Amino acid sequence: MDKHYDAKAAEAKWYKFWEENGCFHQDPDGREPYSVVIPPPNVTGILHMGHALNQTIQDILVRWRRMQGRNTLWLPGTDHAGIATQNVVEKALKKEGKRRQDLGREKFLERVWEWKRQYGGTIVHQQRMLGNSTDWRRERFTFDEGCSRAVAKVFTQLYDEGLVYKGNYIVNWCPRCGTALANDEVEHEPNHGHFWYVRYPVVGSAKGVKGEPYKDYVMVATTRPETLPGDTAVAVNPKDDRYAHLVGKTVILPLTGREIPVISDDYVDREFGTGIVKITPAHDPNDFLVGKRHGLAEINIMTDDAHMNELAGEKYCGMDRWECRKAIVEDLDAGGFLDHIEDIDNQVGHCYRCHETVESRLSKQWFVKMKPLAEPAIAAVKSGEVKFVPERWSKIYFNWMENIQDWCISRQLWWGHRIPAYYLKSDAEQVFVAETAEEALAQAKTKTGNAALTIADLDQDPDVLDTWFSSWLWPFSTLGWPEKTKDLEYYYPTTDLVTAQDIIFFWVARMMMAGIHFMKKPPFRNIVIHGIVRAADGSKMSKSKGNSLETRSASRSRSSPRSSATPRSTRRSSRSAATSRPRSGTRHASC
Amino acid sequence: MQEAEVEKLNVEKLKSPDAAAQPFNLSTFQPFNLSADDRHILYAADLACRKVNEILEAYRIQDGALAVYDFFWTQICDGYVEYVKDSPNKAASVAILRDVFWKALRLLHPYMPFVTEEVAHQLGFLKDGETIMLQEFPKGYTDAEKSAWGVTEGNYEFVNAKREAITAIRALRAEYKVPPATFVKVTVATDDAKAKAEVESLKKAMRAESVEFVPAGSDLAMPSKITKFGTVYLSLEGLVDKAAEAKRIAGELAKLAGFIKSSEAKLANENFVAHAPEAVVAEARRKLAENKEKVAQLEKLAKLFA
Repeated sequence: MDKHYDAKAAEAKWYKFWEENGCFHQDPDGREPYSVVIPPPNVTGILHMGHALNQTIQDILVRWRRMQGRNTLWLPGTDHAGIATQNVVEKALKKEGKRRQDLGREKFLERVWEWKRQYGGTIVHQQRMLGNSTDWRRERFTFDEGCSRAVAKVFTQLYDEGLVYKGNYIVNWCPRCGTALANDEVEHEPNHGHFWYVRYPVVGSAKGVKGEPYKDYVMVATTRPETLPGDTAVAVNPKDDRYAHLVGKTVILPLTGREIPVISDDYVDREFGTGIVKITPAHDPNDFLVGKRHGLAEINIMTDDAHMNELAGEKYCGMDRWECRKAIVEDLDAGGFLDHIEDIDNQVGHCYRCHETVESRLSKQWFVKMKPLAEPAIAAVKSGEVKFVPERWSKIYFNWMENIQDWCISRQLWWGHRIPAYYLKSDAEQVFVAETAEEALAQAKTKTGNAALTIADLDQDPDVLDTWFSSWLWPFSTLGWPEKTKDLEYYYPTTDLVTAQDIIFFWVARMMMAGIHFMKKPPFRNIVIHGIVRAADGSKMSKSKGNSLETRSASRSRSSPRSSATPRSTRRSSRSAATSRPRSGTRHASC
Repeated sequence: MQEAEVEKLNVEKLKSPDAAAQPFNLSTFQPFNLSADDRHILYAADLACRKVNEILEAYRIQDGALAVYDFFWTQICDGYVEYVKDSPNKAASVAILRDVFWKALRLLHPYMPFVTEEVAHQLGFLKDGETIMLQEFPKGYTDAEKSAWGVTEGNYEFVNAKREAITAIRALRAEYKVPPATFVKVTVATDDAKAKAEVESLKKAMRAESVEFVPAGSDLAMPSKITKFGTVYLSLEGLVDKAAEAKRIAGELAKLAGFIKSSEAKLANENFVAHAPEAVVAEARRKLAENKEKVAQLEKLAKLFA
C-alpha cells in the first residue's frame, strides 16, 4: 500500500470506474424508489461554493439511500438560462464588432448552440470532480428537444384552459424602430434636463387669489411633464411625516380636472424632488409596479410613434411628445400650476440601434394566471403531503403563495423557447396557439374557413418564454413527460428537493404548481432548504465584491470532509476541518 | 496528504499476516474472552450506525458528519487501535477492528466518496470490480449478537470513563513535563471492582510501572484530575531534578512577570485603548489573561519542587 494518497489520481480513477460501470444508473424495478432532480445550474457558468454545498448535500443523501438499497436516481442537467447565456454570446459578438441583429435570429441561435457545445461542458466536468453520483445517462438540458416539447405543451394547455393570457406590461419602447427593447438594449446617457415643479390642488381646498388658484396643494417635481395626462395618483413615502396627513385625500390633476388619490408607497424617495411624485403607470416602469400594488388605472396616452393620443386630451391629441411637453408647460404656467423650474442632470435612455429617446410604455405581454394554480399548491403543504425542512420555510412559501401575482412569461430575447402563438399575417388580432406550426395552421384554416392558408401566412410570436417557464417543469419534463414513460411512473413524485432559500419563489413554488396541475401530484415529498455560503464576515459572496470562490480552486479534491465544504476549512487538514464546527463557513445556515 | 488519511491508512499496519484471509463475519465469531474494550468498540459501532441513519433521516447532514467523525477518529483511531496493539486476545481484536473499520468506511462513504473507495480496496475489503458505493449501508448489530457478545451500554460507559482516566494521566504528564518514555506511578481513587480488573491495560495506556487503587474519597498530595473513572493521581517522586526544575520555573516566572507588566501598562494607557483597532486591544487582553494563567500553573508547580 502506498504511503501517500494521490487524491487526483484516485479520484480520476474511481469516477471513471463508477461512471463506466453504470454505478449511478438504475432502472425502475419493484423496490422503493428514491429520486432527486438536481437544481440545474446555468449552462453559462462555473460552479461556485453555493453549488458545491448544494450538490454535496444531495450526493450525501443519494449515496446513503442507494447504499440502503433504495432504487436511487439523481438526475443531472443544466439550464439554458435565457438572458444570461444570450448576454455572454452577445458580448463575444461585440468583440467582433457585431450585434445580434447583424446575424439575424437563426444565425445568432446557431452561434449560441455552438457556444454551448464549446463551453457548456465546464459545469458537468466540475460536477464530476465533485464526485456527484448523478445518472449521466439521464442528463437533461432545459432547452433540449424533450423539455422544449413539454414547454410547448404546457403553454398550449394553459392557454386552452384560460390560464395563459395576453395583458399589459411596461416595456422599453423605441418609437422610431417600433419595437420593444430589452433592458440591456437601452443605453443610458447623461442629459441636461429640467425639474418642473407642479402644484396639484387638494380637493376641497378653498380657491386662492391672484393667480394662485388653490391655497392648498401638493407640489410634485417631474422631468417629463408631457406624461401628466396619464397620471393616476401622486405618492409619498409612508415614513414621510411631512405628508402623512395627505395620504388618503384626493388631488386635482391640473389641466384635466380629474381627481386622483394620494397614496403612500415605499418606492418613493423622500430626498427626491419634493418627496411627492406623480404616478404614471402606463409610462414609467416603477410607476407601473406601484400601480399594480395599489390597483391604479393604466392610461396609455401615446401612440406607437410617440405622438399623443385622444386619452391625452383633445388639445394635445396628435402632437409629438416634445411638442406636447412645450404645450403642457405653457398651459401649466398659464393656469398657475407651475411653481418653478430647476435645471437637473439626469440619465435618459436611448435606443442602442437608432439612438432615439426610449419611451416606457404598455405593451401586450403573455401572463400566467397564478391564483388557481397556487391554491392546490398551498393545500399540499398545509396538509403535510409536502414538507419543508426545516419547517419554518413553509411560512415564507405561504406568504408568497397567498399574495401571488400573475406571472409575466414573455421576454424580448432570442435564446429560449419561442412562444408557440401564431398570428395571421393579414390580421394580427387572430392568434392561434398550438404546439407546432402545423397545428396552428390547421386551427387557422378552420377558424377563417380559408383552406388555402399556408405556414407562410402565419407569423410566430417573436418573443421567448422566461427561463423559469422551462425549469418549473423540471421534475417531470426530465422524466419524459408528456410521454407516459416508465421513469415518470416510477420516479415521480421525486423524494427530496434540495435547494437554498433564495429560489423558493422563483422555482420551488412554481414547480409545486406545475407538478400538481400537470401530474396531479406534487413534484416532491420534502423540500430541503439549506444555508447560503457566506464569506467569513457573514456577507454574501459575489464576484463583484471579489470574495467569491470557484469550486475548482476551493476543493480541488473531495478528500476533505464534505460537510465542511467551506472556503476556510477546506484549506485545513481533514482533521481540523472536521473538528471545527461544520457550520463555520455557513454560520447563517438555515438548517 | 492529509493527516486524518495518514492515520486511517496506518491502521493497515495492524493487520496480522493472516487477517486478510479471515472472513469479517462476526456472526461466526466466538464471543468468549471479549474484553471490556472489545465490547466497547462493538457498542460504539452499533451506536454510530444507528445514529447516522437516524440523523440523515432528519436531514441533519453536518451532525451525521460529526457522528461518523467521532466514531472513526475518537473511538477507532484514538481508542481501539491503541488497545488492539497490546490486546491479550489479538486474533479476536483484529477481527473486530476489521469489522468496525469496514462499517466506519461505509458510514463515511457518502461524505468522502473517493478516499473511502480507495482505502476499502487497498485494505482488501473489496475485490477488483467491486465498489463501496453499492455496498450495504451499515445498520448496526442485531440484539441477538449484542447480547451474545455482552455488548451493553454499561460497559460502554465504563470504558469511556477508563479512557477519560487515561487521557487525564496523559494530560498530567504533559503538564508536569514528564518525558514520554518515563514510566510513572499512578493511583486511582475508586471502589469499583471492575476498574481494578483493568490494571494491566491501564498500565500500558498510561505508561505506568504501577497503578494502585485507594478507596474513593481519598485525598493524596499529588497532582490529580477528577474523572468518571475515579480521581487519578500522578506521582512525581523521583521523576525530575527538583533543583534544576525550580530554577527553570523561577526563570520562566521572571520572564512572564516582565510581559505582564508591560501589557498591563499598555492596557492602562487610555490612548491605546481608545485608538487602537478593537481586535488589537482584544488580543492584548487575551495575551495578558493567558500569561497570568501560565503564572498560576508555574507557581503550583514551583511548590512541588520547593
